[in-house]
Amino acid sequence: MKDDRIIQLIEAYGTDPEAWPASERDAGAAALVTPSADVQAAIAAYAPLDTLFTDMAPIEAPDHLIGAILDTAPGRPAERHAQGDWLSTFLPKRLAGQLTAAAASLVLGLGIGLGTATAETEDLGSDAAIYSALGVSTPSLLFEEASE
Amino acid sequence: MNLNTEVLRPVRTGVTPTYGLGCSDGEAGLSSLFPASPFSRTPGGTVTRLSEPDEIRAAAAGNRLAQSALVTRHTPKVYALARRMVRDDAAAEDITQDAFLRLWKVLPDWEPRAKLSTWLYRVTLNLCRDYGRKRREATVDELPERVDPGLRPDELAEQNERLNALHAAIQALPERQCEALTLCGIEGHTNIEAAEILEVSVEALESLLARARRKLRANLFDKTGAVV
Repeated sequence: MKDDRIIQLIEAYGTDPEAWPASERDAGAAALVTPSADVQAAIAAYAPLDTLFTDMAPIEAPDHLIGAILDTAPGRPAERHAQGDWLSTFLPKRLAGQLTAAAASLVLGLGIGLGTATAETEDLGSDAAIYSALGVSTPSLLFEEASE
Repeated sequence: MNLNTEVLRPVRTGVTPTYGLGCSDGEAGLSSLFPASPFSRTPGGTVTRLSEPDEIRAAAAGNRLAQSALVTRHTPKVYALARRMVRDDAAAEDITQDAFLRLWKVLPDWEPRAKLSTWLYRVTLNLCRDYGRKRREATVDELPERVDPGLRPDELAEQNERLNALHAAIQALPERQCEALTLCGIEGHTNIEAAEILEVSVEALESLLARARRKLRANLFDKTGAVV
């Protein structure tokens, strides 16, 4: 390995060959056994910076973090079923969404339909009261009496 | 399912992973009981881990043990990267959680174009950039990096001073140089991994690293090698 390349590696990755790219580690380490004056100068220039890096403490994640992240993980199909997301367990997500929307529309339509039907029944009820007041039980009887 | 031969190491999470029908992790017979479990026991009794695609599929299907394995394996490095970049514990936690929230969203449609870890680190760096832009004007308290009981108080103070100077110099680097140095020079990613995360060539990464280290050396040390 040529000096230029060794100096490039020192500048980019540091003076420890263990930090160098794996493909150049062995050749670089061998070249460092008898370094040239230029390589020695590069090592002297960058060694204090590398020492500073080695003084940096490793950072450890707080203990509660993994649990907190797992709390946000998606549930199993059974759990999703319980949460009302059961369609997505066996259908593509988009199709499941569309079907859910269609089902919601159907329920809404049925609700409105039932509401309307109840109103008509009530109207019929009020009509019956009028017919009753006229002395007949159904409109047909009223018409029969009229035709007579 | 494909099994690789990586031996699982004990995890220090304090979290008991669950799998299958919500049983606690009892290790024995996992693969026979729950084929979607991310762990399997060979005839010799060695517990091995599933391949990443299988593990991702299991995690996306809600398998708690697979999710736990993913989170346990990636959280320390994701958090460390975020903490190095933003230098704030709470913000680093938020960023780590946010990265995993994004992972849960994409997991069902995961296409293994990149390694999951590479994707996570990219997302983490993006979140760190967003955070950095938002608090550009704010000052952050300098946190001591290490309390070494072997050092005298004056030595400890001196070490903290040097490390704080180093951190300040790293933070002052251009964004891409700072990211390259944090990934490769501090967090120990290989040059190939770091280049993938930053979406640059290995040569470009090397150039970023060399420029970053030259600037640090010039800003931190005098000609005798002492910290300025």
